[in-house]
Amino acid sequence: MSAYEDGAACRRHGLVAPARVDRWPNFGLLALMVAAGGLLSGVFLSFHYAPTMEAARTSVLHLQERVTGGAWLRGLHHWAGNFAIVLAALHGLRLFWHGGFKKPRRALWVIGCLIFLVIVGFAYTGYLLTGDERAYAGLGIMQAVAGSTPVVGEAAARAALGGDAISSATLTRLYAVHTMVLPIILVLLLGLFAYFWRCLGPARHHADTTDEVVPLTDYALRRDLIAGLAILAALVFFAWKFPPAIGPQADPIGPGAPDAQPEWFLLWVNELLHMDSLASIPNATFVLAGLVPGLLVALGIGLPLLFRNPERAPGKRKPELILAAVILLGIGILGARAAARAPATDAETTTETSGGETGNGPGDNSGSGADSDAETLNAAASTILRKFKCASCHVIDNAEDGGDSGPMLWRFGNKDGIPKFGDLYTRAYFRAKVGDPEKFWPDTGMVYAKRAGPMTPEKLATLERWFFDGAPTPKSGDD
Amino acid sequence: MTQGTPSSPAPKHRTGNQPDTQVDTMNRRGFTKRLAKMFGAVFGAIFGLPAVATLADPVLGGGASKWVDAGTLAELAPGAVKRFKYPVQAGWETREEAGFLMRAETGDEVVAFSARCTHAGCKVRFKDDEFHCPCHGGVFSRNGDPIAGPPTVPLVRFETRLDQDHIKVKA
Ligand code: FES
Repeated sequence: MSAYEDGAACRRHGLVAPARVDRWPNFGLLALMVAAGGLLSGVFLSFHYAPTMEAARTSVLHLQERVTGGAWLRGLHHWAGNFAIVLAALHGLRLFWHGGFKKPRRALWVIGCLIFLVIVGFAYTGYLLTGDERAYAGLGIMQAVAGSTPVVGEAAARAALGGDAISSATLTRLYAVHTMVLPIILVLLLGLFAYFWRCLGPARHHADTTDEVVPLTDYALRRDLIAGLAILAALVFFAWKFPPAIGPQADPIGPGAPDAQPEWFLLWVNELLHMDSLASIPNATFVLAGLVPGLLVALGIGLPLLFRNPERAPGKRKPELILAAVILLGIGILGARAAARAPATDAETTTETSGGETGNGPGDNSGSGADSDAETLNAAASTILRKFKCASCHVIDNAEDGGDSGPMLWRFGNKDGIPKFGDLYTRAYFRAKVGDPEKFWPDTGMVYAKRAGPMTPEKLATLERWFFDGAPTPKSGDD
Repeated sequence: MTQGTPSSPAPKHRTGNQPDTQVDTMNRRGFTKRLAKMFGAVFGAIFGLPAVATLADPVLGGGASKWVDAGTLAELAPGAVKRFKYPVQAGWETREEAGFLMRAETGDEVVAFSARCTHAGCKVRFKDDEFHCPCHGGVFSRNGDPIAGPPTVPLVRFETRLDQDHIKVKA
């Protein structure tokens, strides 16, 4: 064993590092940096948040839209959390590739895995706190998964919720975990990590078997600092360009969110829960959302015990690599499938192909060609409506669900007094209002889903045609 | 492993691709240090600025008073005193605070007081034609002047005006 690895060099010279620097920055250090940013921004976010069902979303919205710097603070916090997951995962993958989980770094690997779990725990509890429909859906899944635990299910669900239903007690305990419990655990784990890391230093390249060390201060610190600056720039860019969304207020007795996807790192579990072929497994919820992720976590942590051969070169560790590849590929495919199903994505493609203005009014509708035109128009309009989340506030055209904070938009009205859309609004009003609701009449609070992108003239024309000129479906042809 | 002597530090081990002269090492150290400082400054600015801005926001904003409706003159008999409520925008909430309206014995003049005691901020109550503070026994006259106990300053008055029959208070 080299002087580097048995720590003798450290005792002689203080902190040391391998003299041969490989070309990647230290992702672990970068993860630590963004995690520090997450903690720091979190401290100040907590000044503006109330963990109750009534106030949670309002307080977040207030921060984001009324408080100077609030949108920045929340955006940075959100993206710092996501970046930390990605960087920590990259760090783990790199270590795995170079056999960095093997002796003498086994303890570091286990602690590192636990740190990764805590980082994911931050992101998970964080996204459940916003008090909007999406968070509410996530809380429902948390309740169901906890409740599906064999034997102690009911107790687990109550422990998770702080009672028998999703309530302010639930938000308060998640907030306590997010801001008290997890930071304390993180700091303890980092301390333990530092203790073991002290004389081992950064993991070396698998081919580096030499004795050469340099003082740590020289070791690639410049490269890591430059990479750190790049990561900070990326963080600012993401916080600026992709601010975290906040949806409609959670309403426990309302119709629920039209699309309630969890955070990206949970999509693969959600996809498992979605698969019809797996639904027949006994207690599928627990098996798929509890047991499977739990076993994978155990596998990850137990890696150093499972693969004890000291070989570090990837070429000589086929079974390890194949196992990891299969698992990562599986998770990747599941996640990609879930992402592909998200409405925002499919709306994009449909709208662009069928949203064009073809200029036919109601009088042109005749024969089968008109039917297919009407279908095309319906499809185009419904993707736009879905993408812009109109149904969060409006009941549109006699739909089953829809929010009630905006007026009902029924193209053909009904006999019981809901007026026809064309009687309520003029085309000019429609174009001005729907074209740019925040500018035209900000007081109504009408805003589009952040992810929807701009309301282009083509989309506006499609909607106008659908609302004003669309033909009723044959069955309800009383208009 | 044998211990190295204290006078033979790391350079013995520094091999590999970097040149190993004293001057070069110094330069690189200096550069790394400057880079570390720059990184610290950027990190501090990115997270520090929004933190300071959000902390300062409620301090610098707020304090705006608005005309609020406090009922009609007809509901307030000459010489009578009654409570009124006014909204205060605070953080993400609109809270209600209470004040008192006092109509002069003769004429239409209406005075509006804050219900906060000028001693240490407790809410005063109207009793026996005086305002009494429960905290340290302060007493104010119906005109809001301190007449007993620790308060030395009159109750805070709000601007009022009559709009048709409605009493408007700038609270
Ligand atoms: S606060 Fe009113 S007397 Fe002290």
